[in-house]
Amino acid sequence: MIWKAWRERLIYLAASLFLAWHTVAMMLAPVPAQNVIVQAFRTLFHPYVTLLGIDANWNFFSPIGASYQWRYVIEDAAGNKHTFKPITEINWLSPVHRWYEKILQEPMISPDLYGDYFVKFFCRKQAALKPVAITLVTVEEGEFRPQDYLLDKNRTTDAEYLTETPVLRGLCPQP
Amino acid sequence: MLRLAALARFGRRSVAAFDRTWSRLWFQNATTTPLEITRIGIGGALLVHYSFATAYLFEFWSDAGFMPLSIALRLKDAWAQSIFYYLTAPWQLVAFHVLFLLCCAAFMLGWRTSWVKWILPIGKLSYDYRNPVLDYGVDMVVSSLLLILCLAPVGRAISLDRVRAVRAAKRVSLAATLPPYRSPWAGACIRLMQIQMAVIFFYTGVSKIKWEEWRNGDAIWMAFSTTDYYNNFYLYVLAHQYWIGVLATYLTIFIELAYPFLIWQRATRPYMLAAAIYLHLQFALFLALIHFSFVMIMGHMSFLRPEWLHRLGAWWKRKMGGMEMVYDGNCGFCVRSMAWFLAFDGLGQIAIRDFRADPSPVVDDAQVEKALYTVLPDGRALPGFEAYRYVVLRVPGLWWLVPLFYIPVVSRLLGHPIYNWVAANRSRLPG
Repeated sequence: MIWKAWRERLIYLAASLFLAWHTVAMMLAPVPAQNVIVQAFRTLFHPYVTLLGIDANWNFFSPIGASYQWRYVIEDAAGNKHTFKPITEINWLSPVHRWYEKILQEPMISPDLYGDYFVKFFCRKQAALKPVAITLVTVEEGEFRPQDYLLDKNRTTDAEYLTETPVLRGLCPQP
Repeated sequence: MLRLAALARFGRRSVAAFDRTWSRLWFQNATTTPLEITRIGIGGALLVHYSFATAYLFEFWSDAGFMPLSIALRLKDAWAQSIFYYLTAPWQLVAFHVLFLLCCAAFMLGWRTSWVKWILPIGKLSYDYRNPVLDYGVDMVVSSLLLILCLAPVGRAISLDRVRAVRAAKRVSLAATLPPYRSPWAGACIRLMQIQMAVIFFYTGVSKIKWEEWRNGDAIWMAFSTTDYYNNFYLYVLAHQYWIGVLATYLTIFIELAYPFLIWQRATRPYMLAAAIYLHLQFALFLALIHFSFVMIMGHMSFLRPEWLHRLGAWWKRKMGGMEMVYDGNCGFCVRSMAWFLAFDGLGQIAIRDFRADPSPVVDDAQVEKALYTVLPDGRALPGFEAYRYVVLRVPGLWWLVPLFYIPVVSRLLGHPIYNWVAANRSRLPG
């Protein structure tokens, strides 16, 4: 009987400690790491929140920031250039669209890590064009105000809003 | 000495008061129903989401894709772990993916929930850490909610596990009822999920007001004019009526900042909950963030009050009216079937009558000898297939049978002869 009462108290205590620990971890994880006071606690909680995948900063849509397009240009044997916007080939409503939004920016941000794979991938995809070379291009969209829209301009297609930067040029593997 | 004793008494009282408050905050004896709604939603969302990924399995998570293991290991945190760091053969990836999808389905349905629930966070984190590039905010939300669902005693309501438990009791006696599962730990897990949702909203709101576009009211316009969300119709409306975008921007911040403070009060909770759900429906509709919005709404379900769900159930029961199924208590197969059928009637809408022990005043015995009957609130009685057809549409736990009973023409064309054959041969069927 005494053991049962003690066991219940112990379970209550353990559960309470866990709840307190987890609550602090949830509240602490999003705090900016540069906060000096928080840094010490973060070190303590870091293994826990990382292992359980709850190390989030919850900063959805902040900032909205600049907008980028990712393109690639295929050069065929005749020297013609064909431009593709790969994200437009995927259904906007599908979760695959969200994944590719992230994936396609990777070769532009880290061409040394992913460039080689995507050069081969897109060359294979456009094999019908008999591609010789490919250039991965990042396109930054400029500021776009309502007044611009009322002047019938389009931020995503009008050249005046778009700044193209070639990121990587690679040769397509020949069969 | 006296002062010391008073101090000790004060200390004891303070500890006791803290203990009482702590218990009230965390360990309220609660049913798991709000968590079960979240379980069903999260399980379903993961099932759909990762089913879409099946075609991209090797491209996203194998060495043949753009993220070879060597790069993934280079990018990972020392504490990040993924089962795919160890299972690297293509067949292992396929096998785990199939297992994961099956577990998502089982988790959603509440089948063997107590062990299936552990596979989900392990699988989810494995996908996330094997390819961190694919990670969105919603993945963190899912991981956070899954962890809490794992710790919680889920599967005790609105689940196949519950159906199995009720069926086992009904097989002993059809009149048996199982009280709903309640525990202080269920209350603690609900509270934990509530705090998690409040934390997400708080930091989301706070992080927004740091940025000029949110403070100036331009954020909605800016979001809609980026290439990801560019939509001519929305931009037309916003460009002509810019105040709509400004209002929507401030409303978003207001809801996100008010939620963590006003969601706890009895009077304001319904409004905050409605506002949060409204906000997420907007994200789903205008930004196509369907998965994210759905997951967040499922998280908000932890704030549903048990009495709201109880009232909803009572309203549905009242609206549908009573129904009585008259069956043959001497037929083992019929009793067994009734036990199975009644196990899905979570709201207790179906009354039963064994015509052998308690003849029905509406249907005479000779009729029930041939088929089971359902007596409707208006006194009409439907036989056999039609009896079941009436019931499955009105009992939420049986809605999964609706497609079977309501295929135009086909259901009745096949249903009647199948039912009549079973009824005629019921004495030969296992009971």
